[in-house]
Amino acid sequence: MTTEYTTRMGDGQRIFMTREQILADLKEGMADATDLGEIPDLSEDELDKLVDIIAMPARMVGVEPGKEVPVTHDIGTIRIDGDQGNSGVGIPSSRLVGVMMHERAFGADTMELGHIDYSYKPVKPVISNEQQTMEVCQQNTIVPLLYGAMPNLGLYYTPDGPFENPGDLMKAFKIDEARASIEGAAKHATRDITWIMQKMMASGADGINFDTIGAAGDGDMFASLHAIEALRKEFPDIYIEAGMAGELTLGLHGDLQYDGKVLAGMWPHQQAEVVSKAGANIFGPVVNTNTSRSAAWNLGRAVTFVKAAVKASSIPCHVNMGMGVGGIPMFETPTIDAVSRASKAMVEVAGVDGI
Amino acid sequence: MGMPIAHIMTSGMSGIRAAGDLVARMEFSKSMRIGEAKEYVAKKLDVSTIDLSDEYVMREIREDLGIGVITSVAGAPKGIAAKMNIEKLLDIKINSCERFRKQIA
Amino acid sequence: MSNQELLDKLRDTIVSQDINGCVDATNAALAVGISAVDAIENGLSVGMKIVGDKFEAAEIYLPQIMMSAKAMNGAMEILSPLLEGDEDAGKGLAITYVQEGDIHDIGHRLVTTMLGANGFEIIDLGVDVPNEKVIEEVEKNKGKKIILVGSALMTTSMLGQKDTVELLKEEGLRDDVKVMFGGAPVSDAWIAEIGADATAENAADASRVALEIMQ
Repeated sequence: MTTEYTTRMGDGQRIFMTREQILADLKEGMADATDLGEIPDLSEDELDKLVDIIAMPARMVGVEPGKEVPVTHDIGTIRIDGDQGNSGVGIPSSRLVGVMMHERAFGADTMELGHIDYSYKPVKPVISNEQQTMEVCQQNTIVPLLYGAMPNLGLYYTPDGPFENPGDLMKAFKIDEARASIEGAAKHATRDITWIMQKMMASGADGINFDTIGAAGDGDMFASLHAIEALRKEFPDIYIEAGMAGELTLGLHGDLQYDGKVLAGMWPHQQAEVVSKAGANIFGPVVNTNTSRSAAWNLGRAVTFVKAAVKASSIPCHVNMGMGVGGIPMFETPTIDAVSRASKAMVEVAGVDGI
Repeated sequence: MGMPIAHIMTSGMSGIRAAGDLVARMEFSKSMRIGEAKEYVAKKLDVSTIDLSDEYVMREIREDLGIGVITSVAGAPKGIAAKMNIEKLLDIKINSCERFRKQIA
Repeated sequence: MSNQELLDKLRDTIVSQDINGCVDATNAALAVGISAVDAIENGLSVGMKIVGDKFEAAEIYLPQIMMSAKAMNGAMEILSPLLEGDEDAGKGLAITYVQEGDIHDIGHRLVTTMLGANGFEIIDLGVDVPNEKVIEEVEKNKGKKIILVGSALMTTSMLGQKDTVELLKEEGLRDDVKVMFGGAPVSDAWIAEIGADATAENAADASRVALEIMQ
């Protein structure tokens, strides 16, 4: 009888597959990535290694000693005191307590301070509170502590912001007006992010984490790249982590460029180049999980994309490995067997510099 | 919460339990790739790169150098004080330390 | 120009986002006796399929797909009156919305546009829509060929899709509609579990799946 191994679907459900089935799904996922990104296949050895990782007879697996990498954290302390709406576990605590718990209780290599809304724009009215919290946290922590939030260009459009919603304009086929709206919003976002970080750097922040760049399309990425450029110019030593929202930069505008390159349609290995050119220190590639495919299919695909990004990048790559990205199932409480296997695969096969 | 802890246990460098914060600082401050960052820190600490994630090796080194330990050792440098020692060890500047120095100048 | 060449012209005007050209090609096709159904199925829809595939492969982006949709809309304004009374020609009514508690609408908008461009009559209920409002809209349009197209980007809002199906059953409306759900957390297993009809991976795929289940 052929041995079957316990693994997962992309939505987290437990399934059983033989080594042959796992390999077939890994290859199929890999082929999807190579077709879309026009990037190289994984080698036979790398595929075999991935099969071994998935089929390991342990609930949780780990990297080989000596291959460990630093782990950075999007969403920061919100995961402790935030509610279910923003992936938190709702433990009443201060953000200082959250930072110190990560440093001292969990063994986090770096940490991030963020506020409950977790977008840059709404930080403006509460900037003094954010500065004060950063100061207190910096006095009590040793690990690098970044300030983080989402560029979230969506907040600059009606009804939340001054620019008409490009989605509405597009629906009315007002393409030029929609593009002008995206460009206007991007300018505001760049200005806001830069201003917020001027304040946070004055309060001792080590740097900035851009979480989910491109969530609102290429305009979102355009704004972030210009903010990175401005911050690097003003603060040569600032730590800048640029984490993406998805594997593909969505072309809501379509024509926006950075460094002579069209942002729409960029895959992780192409995003890495512009992010580094703008002045980031760390690039956070993202590959989305398909809930209807197996963990093996998703991992084969994600590792292929990320390996190409790691190779193309001139700066360290910390792959995004949260819920529904990086080969991890899209489920609110991702299973530890799937998380640890994806984590090990990214370090040992994709060669990431961090997670 | 299971996710970040699972990553830390699977792949992380254990932060100040070992030398994860130091390697991260070199990636961030000098854009060093993982191999280069580990070698840089290992050289400064006079240990091998595999020791950087080894709590047994790093516990005593961290206390001796005053760069922060995970347990609350009375009188040991913490926060800004520990980071000032990290600045000297790694030959880098840390923003919070710079701000602190300006305030007491 | 042969009939096939005219149909190819319709296809090409969609692919090249030629808004005026598409209207002209539609009039030219009708003038030589090509039926409205033939023009849609063997000309315009073929073009939209190519556009959808290009979008899926990230070769074109939202503005381009919207321009193709506009070209299609121009043609449909001419062709729709000719389809009236032909029950089989209309694709049906698509009621689109984002589930209550969720305001992520990029995918929703895109799917709505693609369905419209593929010949569906559209009622777009917008974002953060309570199930009661969805049921009310279905009730109002009872008797038509209806497909419900709901989107949810979060695992929390996705749970509301189960209630949508339950409510349709409770109100005796389940057999009157096809139900299609989408969004990042939605999987085939979820669709089967809650008793919906289909899901799709992206906007281009959504129009293909919708056409398929409405046949």
